[in-house]
Amino acid sequence: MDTTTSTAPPPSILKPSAGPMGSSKWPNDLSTNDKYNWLLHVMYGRGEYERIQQFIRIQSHKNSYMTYIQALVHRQEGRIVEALDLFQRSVIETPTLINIKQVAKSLALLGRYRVAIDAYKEALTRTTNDWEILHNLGLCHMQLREFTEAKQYLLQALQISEIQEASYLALGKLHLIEGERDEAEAVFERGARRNPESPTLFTHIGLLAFERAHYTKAFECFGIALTFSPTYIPAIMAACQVIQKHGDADVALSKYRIVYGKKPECAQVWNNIGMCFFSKKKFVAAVSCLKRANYLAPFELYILYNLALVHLYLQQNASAAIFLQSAIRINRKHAPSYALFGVALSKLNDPDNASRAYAYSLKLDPVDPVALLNYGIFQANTGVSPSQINATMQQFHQCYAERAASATNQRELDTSMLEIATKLGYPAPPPAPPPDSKSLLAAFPPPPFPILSTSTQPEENNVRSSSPPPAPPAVFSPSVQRDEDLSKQPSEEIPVVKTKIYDDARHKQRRTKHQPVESSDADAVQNK
Amino acid sequence: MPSNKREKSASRQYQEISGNTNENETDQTRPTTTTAATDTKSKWLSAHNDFVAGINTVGSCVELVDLYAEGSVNLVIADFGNILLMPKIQAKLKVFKEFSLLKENNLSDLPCAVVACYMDTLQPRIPALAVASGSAVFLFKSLRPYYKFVLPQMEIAQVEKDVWHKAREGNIDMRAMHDVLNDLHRGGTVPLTHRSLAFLQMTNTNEAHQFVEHYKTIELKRQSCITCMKKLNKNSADEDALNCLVIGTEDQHIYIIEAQAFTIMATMNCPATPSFLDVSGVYDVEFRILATCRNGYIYLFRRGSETPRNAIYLNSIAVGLERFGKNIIVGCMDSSLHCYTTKGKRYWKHLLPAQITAMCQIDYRPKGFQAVAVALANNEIHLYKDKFLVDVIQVEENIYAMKFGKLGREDATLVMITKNGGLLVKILKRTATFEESDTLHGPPKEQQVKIDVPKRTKLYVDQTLREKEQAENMYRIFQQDLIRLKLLTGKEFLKSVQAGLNPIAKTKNEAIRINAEVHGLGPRFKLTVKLQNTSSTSLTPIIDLFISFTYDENIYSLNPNYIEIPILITGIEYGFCTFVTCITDKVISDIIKVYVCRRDSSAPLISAVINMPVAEPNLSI
Repeated sequence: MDTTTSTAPPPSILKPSAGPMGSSKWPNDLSTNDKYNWLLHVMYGRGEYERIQQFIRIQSHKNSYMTYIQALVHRQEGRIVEALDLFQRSVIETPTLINIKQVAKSLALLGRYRVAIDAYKEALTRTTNDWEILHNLGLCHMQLREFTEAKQYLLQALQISEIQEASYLALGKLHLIEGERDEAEAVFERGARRNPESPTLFTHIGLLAFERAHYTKAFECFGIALTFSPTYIPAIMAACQVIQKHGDADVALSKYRIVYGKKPECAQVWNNIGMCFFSKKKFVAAVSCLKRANYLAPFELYILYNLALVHLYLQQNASAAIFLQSAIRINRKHAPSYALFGVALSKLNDPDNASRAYAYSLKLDPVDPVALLNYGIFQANTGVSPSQINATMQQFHQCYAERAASATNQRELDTSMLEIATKLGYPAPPPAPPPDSKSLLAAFPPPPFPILSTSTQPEENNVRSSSPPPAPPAVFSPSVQRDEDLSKQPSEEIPVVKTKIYDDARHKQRRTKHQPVESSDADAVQNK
Repeated sequence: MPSNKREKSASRQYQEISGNTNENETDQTRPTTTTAATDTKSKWLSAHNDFVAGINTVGSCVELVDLYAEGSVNLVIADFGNILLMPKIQAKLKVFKEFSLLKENNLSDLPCAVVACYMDTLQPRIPALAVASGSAVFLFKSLRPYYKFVLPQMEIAQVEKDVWHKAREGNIDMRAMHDVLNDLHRGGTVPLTHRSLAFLQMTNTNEAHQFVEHYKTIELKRQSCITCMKKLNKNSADEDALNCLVIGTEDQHIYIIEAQAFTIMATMNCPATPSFLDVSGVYDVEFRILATCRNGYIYLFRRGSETPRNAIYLNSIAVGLERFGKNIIVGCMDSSLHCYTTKGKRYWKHLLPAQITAMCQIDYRPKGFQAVAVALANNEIHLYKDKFLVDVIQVEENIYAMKFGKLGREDATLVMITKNGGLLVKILKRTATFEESDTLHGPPKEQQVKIDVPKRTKLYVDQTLREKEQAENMYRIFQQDLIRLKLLTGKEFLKSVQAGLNPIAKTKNEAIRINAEVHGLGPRFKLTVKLQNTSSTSLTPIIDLFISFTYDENIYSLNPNYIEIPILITGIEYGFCTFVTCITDKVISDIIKVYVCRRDSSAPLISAVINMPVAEPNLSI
């Protein structure tokens, strides 16, 4: 223990007169030993850590507050073990509440949650209404995956202080881990009422709404988050996702600039930027951005899928096939990849494998109208018997009708798919004209609008929740996870529409040669 | 245009002020030219920039006051000097008239607060300066030392007094003294003196002895220190009415001291050590004291009660505290700015882009403009009016202390002290209006960033053209090569597994890591083979292994060249040594292969190839 004067002052130029100071090594008046504590406190408050260290080093006599501040500085600078050591020394000298709390916090930061819980419980014997202790106890239990205790403590913490954003967030995440979305939403909304300016809480509410396909509400929430914190990245990513869904690539692109400025190496942002360029028909830029995204995150399925899509569009079929192979290698159950692979293979004159890819894709997801339509086109091109084509197209129309009935947003389904089907010679089921098909739609699921808002949600929900399944385990690194599953959504939405457009062009080229490629591009613009 | 005229008069005044300070003009030219470009938009005129003023202080030690009752406000700064030259104190009380130093007084210790207060009823109203430092308040009248008020001494436990009394008489030994004091420290109701605490911390008996020798003749005292100080009007709300001083101390008290006879009028018990105070009201009628404390709470005291009425929990340590009527604005160390009511309800909370380094209140009466200025570590000063950010001032350095008020004859000046000791003064333009929906609410400036889209080369474009033509071919070749590559990889892997060549052996239930080191210069080397059982699935140790070596017998001889391996327990690294002697006189080196084998199989489990260094020649004398 070198708390007394035994440590020699550092051989520094700062202190020429300090060495032979008086006859004694102790000052005559020890009673005013605390006289610089206030200054240390002020310096700590404004973050002058280096200066504090120097100041403490030159003091001839160290008091307990200096030990405490020194420990805080260590912790702020990331040397938690040293900090813990000093805090423990403080506790031995004076076992006050504040010292015990600091020991517990340091232990928790070191990941020794079990010991930290003991220390916090010790602290709880000295006070009953300390929010910080209860909240941190909750967090420690959460890390140890003891969710019941964690919930209990967090609720207690919220009883003491109702405004604590952190507790609401932690509690909401706990509910999400356990799959209780309604409770989580309730907690977040309660928190947001108390913290009407919290970007994090509103982003969470927005994301939950997005998962349930309440896009207007989601967008409102992201908007609130962004008004209070215009550079809050998760909210930007989420809001842009909605914007991209609406096809407003320019606005999304201008918002992505903010994220790009802050996180230039974020693969998800590059992916989304690439898809923005894609919908603006700047294909080379799109490829560049996607390739950078792929470089930054080589094992990201959606980036590979998008790359393949853009390459298909650019008629670089070999590259597209190769990227799709990688995508399939990453996720063997990703039906859209197989469907697209089928397209690529058929372009590469490999009808056998293309047929297999289509079949496998439809086995994984038999209700995807895009895959069905492409399969139908493929079958028509390769001269399969009309009955088979007919079966495929029947299925297509059925799935399309179901989708159309369940879609709350008309943009989600591209009506030009029907046109292509008609061109293919298989218009909507019994009679060809569109009005008839509409009437049939109405007949199929009896009341089209009122029920679909309730009945279709679960289905939508399932589709979506299947795409970000890693959400629960990743709660401990929340921000990263959020970025990821945000970027997945737009990449899933936009490309699907494009696939069809692309195939549209291909089909026209093959079957009805009179239509040039450009005009089909124009078609695509209109569809958008 | 009236506004234009006012603008001109402001700038003329600015000229006058800068004209007064001839010696500073050289300093001024540099920074003002840099800010000139932004000046047209800025609401502030830069009146004075001295980046080498060498002033080191905190916000509570800056005061703007009309010291001579002549209608011109002086700037008073208690300067710490260089605190890193510690025990030497360089603290000075500096008084500026306009921007030139008028007078300076040496201070005996670092000041923690300077307050200008009226302590008599004489005319003209000339204020005294109260400087708090250590455990005393020093009063200066007309810049001459006038009075020193010392905090009352605190109670000392009788036992402790007795112990030191005995020590003086020399009839107590160190150990007994230590035990008594320690018991007192653990169980006593009265805290120990610093002397006893320091004594308890000593581990070296010899040193402890010297310590007692040194201190036993000195009177035992327990005294607190001042941490913060503010003033409170005594019996009238007028600006120049009689004041009392409100002092927060290290031992968790708040004292109210009458400034005429220096008697303690009221004492309040704070649950923790206060770090900032805010005082409002009149002592004789009703007053409120807000104290932010080191434990992260704000406590509210009112007249007639010794204990706090209300407590507000902050999640972090407070860096500054301001109050507007019933709103408390507090900046915290986690770079957040909160607004609470005095009842403890939170109105709003902002997260600021950087850490807060200083805060001050802006109260510009002529325009009825009230705001809080928050200096941030990213060299910006944000002005918040209610919850709205109304202005951002860019400065060249971190601001560590700020004060807004009258200076000289100018009504609205902002005095700033920078991290490196600079003194900056800005004047609020008379035309300046602060609107809540300002340009600051437009798209964030980050949105101007251009996205750097990677460029594609001509080669790439050519290749894409080629691909369009020969996609089928390319794909087929790629597929073939890929399959060939996979085949090759598989073959090689199989080979290495069969030969035990990879550095980590992994069979169904055992995994071993090998590592080898060669020590020495030669011709005799020590070869250490380190083995670690890394299997995580089963905890059963590995047995029945041995190490053997292959090498060129013309070059090396090994002793031993066969090592039996005892049991290998999971996780522990074992070292096995053998001595290698280089027996050739040529300057060559070779490889030695180490094999770890199972006794029941011929193929090695794992192996390592060691490139031996060239041996130094054998010196025979």
